[in-house]
Amino acid sequence: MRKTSRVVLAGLAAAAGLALLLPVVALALPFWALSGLQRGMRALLAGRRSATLPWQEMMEFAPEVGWKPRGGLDARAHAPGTPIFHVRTDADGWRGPQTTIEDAGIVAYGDSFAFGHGCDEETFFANLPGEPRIKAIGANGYNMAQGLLWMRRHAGRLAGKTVVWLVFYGNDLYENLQPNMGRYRMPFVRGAGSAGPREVVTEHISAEPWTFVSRTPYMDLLAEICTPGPLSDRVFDAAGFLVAEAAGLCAEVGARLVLAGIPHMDALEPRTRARLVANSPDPSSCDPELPDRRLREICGRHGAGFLALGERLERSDYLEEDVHWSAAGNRKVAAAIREVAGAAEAGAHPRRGASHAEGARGGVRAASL
Amino acid sequence: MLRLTLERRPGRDDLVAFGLAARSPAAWVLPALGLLPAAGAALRPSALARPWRMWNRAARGYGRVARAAVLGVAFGVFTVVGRAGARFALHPSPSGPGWTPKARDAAGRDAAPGATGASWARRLLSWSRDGENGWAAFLVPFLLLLHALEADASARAAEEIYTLY
Amino acid sequence: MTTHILGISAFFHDSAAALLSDGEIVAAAQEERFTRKKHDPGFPSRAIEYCLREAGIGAGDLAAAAFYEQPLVKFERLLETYLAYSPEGFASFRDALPGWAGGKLDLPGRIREELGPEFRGELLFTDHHESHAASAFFPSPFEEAAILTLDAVGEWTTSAIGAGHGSRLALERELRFPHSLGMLYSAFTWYTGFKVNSGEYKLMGLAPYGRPIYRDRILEHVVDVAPDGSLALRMEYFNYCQGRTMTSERFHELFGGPPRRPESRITQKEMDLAASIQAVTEEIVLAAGRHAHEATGLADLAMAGGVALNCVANGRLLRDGPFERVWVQPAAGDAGGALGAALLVWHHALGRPRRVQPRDAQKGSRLGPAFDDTDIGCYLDSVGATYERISGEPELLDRVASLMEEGKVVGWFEGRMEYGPRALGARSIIGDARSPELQRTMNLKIKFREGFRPFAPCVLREHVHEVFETRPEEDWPYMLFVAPVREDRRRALTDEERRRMEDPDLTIRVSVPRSEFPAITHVDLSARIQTVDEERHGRYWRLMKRFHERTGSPVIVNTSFNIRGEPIVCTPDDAYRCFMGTDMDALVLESHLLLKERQPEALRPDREAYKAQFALD
Repeated sequence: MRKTSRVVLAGLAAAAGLALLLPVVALALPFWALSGLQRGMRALLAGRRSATLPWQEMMEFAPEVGWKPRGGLDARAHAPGTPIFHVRTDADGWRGPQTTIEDAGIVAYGDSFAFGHGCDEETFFANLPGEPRIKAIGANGYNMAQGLLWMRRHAGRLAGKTVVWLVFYGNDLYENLQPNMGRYRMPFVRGAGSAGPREVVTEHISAEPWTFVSRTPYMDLLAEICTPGPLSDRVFDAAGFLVAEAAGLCAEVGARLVLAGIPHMDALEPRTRARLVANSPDPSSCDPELPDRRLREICGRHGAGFLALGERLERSDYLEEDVHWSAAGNRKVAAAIREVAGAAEAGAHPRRGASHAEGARGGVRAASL
Repeated sequence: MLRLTLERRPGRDDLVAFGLAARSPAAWVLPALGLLPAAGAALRPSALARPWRMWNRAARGYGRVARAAVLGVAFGVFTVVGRAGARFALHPSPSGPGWTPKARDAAGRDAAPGATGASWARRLLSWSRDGENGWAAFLVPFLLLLHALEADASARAAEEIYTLY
Repeated sequence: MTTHILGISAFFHDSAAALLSDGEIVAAAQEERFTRKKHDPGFPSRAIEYCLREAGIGAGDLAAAAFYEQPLVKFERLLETYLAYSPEGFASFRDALPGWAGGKLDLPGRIREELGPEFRGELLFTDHHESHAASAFFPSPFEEAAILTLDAVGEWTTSAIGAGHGSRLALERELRFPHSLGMLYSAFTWYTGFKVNSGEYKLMGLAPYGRPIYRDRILEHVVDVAPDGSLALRMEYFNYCQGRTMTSERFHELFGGPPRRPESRITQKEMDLAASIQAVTEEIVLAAGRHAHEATGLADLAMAGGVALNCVANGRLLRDGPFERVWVQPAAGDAGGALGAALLVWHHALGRPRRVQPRDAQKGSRLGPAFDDTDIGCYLDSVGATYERISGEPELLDRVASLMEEGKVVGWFEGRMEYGPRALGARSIIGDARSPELQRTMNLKIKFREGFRPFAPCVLREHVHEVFETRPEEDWPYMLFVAPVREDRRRALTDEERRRMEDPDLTIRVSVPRSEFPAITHVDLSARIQTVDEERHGRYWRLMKRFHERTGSPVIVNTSFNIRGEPIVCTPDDAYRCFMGTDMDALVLESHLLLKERQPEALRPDREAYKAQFALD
């Protein structure tokens, strides 16, 4: 009895209720329609993306350095914020298979900027025509410690070349102190900021995922690095150690080292600079130019050249939705690197095994460009 | 499934898709407050971020009002059905409390056969055929409406409210 | 081929995941530990990810996943409640219904979506109380046992009685919503100004300060209790069915005023109410236990459900009840449902046999993640911490025991994290229980919590009966039973101390030393005991052994490694941040020892900012 009464009452009440709600439904139609269309279009775009590789799948485990790009890639790639881009790698995994280290006058080490994240083969700075030729050695997520390890491996092939070290202030500097990038294990600098010795640590490197991840927001860290203080001191102490190691290595093999500092795009415009500064623990002393100043001083100290790319790039040289360079940015960077390499070569021709002091003279000149 | 709002934090592709959707003929016929043509005029993702936010704000605002209306009407259904009585005793029985044989109402009802991925509304309709839950079939349109009027996916489950407190 | 079963509990509070491999508990953890959101009710993605990683498998290797309750049956209870109360209850209805529309009603879809397309196993939904029962009986050391589940509410059931034999269990009798011992206790928790689903243990800790003067009033007006432990609530005193509060105006009139505002001063009234509802709860638990014994004729009892975390009632049931042995699931609340659901699938759905472990199959509840010593060193380097790596265990233990002897408070992080609400020596803050100052220091400067709250002892199992009124070598590794400190270990009070025991300020009362171990002896001379043994606790037992050798004390203070409102630490990063954000003196991260005084000043975070990360519980 109760069951039947309930059904009858519910039927009547629901019918009346739904009639009352018809205007609500009618007014919702435009919202549903646009949302549906948007999702449909998004699905179509995703369909295009499905034929592409996310960057994680372009990488593979590499002992000691953590990871490297897969060799022999010829793929279309994507990442959030970037258009789909075409990537080719040589047998070792480095972008631009048409150029070897031996062919190149400039060897550019670095992170995703040196991998050409977000740009096609034709627009990637290392593939742009011009002399000297450029070989880029980089992978997404690399810190400077990984760059140094590759330089050590390539030491015998660098004689007479200009080694350009692309360092992105957004995360490379901080990650020199980190044993992990998310779940990936990476070499890092131990002892930075302490009285003890510094060293590049690789003992924890394996293909096993790192299981605990720090939670500090990326932009907060950048702001803190730009603010004189303990973290900033440690970061530049680590960078100084790595530059010293690389400069020594280059001097030993007869190469010239130039460090190219890449600012975060937010540091290039007043509005976004203000936002960056506001993230600092002490906004009054936060200076987005601090990395340039500190690295210039470090390079000068160790006889390496320094190129402040922030002086050459504008916001429009970066992608709209991503921190990497646009095609225009890649063109400017290629030109700047060639210019600074030419100047460095003209200013100093360090012999294999040349002393630090000799290398330093060239570096100082390069830094003045 | 219908959704009222767009993603809270759109990616590049979301914005591009938004621009394409706004330019599509289907969108032009909508009474869209003059916003869509403007949004469709430009396909640069960054230029679409602002129209996206405005549209979403309007959708969320409407969603709040519409959900309140649906909940009010649905509660009216409960009030009417409640006249026929409920299935549990609010007051202790004259004989006092006591342990009762464990009801088997739970056994098997949500077990594997019901968990094959069929839509929840169909499962609910099928479940309502059992016992005294037939009336609950009439709730399905209201639940579907509530689902379609959700503000965004992240608010989908008010997870802290599962039981009655 | 190994059969892997994943258990999941979610969408109420304390979401968790548990993994069985061929019936063995391989991993289990609460989601809150990973998300750092206390009592996180969300889908336990991170806990599942951990469980699969621990087993070295992917979702595609799972034979089945089991959810710990049946959403449609729960939905039915929700509908019937609104039918019973309409036209009242709109506020609650407005809050609850949207979450069900396409959300909780679509749990099969949601779970499959979360597990990803590679999961092709069966998806099963078990009964809430059967999940609790399974989590209690199957890991217990009993071949057969009576089972008692005492909870707030599952689908319809609020308490159940049954029995387990070998690999089968059956719940035969139940109490049904809205009549619930858990709800009754939670109503008093709310009325005395604590949070429901987290403040219950505070109410239990407050009870010894009061007198049970409201006991008769509760039994006369609020709840009818039968001699068999069944109960019926007088719903006119409650508001949880139709409102957004637990108690009604009538309840407030009965107890002389509105509920205490959270964080306001605790008065004698709250203490007396706590003592009264605790007394009523103990009576009900004892009566229900006796009834379970009569109904089953079995000598041992397995218990679970939120109320089974009431260790005072558990202790009373063991002391005064009919059972020879009582085993309580350490994750007795909803988190444990994940484990129970998986065990039910293994034994019932798949019909697999059970191998009873003599000491239980819970592995000391150390079922969560552990961290590699090398990785910890790398992490400490990365943050610039000053530490010593002490590879030889004897030296490390000697240093830590010595620090404790000096009255220092030590953060102890070692091995696999505990499953369940208690820190059991893997993620613990420890100190010397003989110190009269320690209780206050730990409450106010380290835990930042209410000063009245007692701390629990860890005691070497072989010495437990020398300090507490227990049987020799009593095996209580999960901190789920309370026992009094032995007479010969107690201190007689001076007149001055007697006066202090009447002080309205509870921090003064609790500071009066009541025994040789003042830091762990509550005002009623009781203690919530964890016995520590070598087999389950390894290095932690050896530390206590070393401390005992140095000091003659087999007891130390053990409290969870967190501050108020913070989930217990999970990773070395969580532990280091907590260490630096509090007045802890030392931290042990596996074989790394950190002393606060040697940490760079610049690394100390703003304490208020650290505390502000966590909402008060």
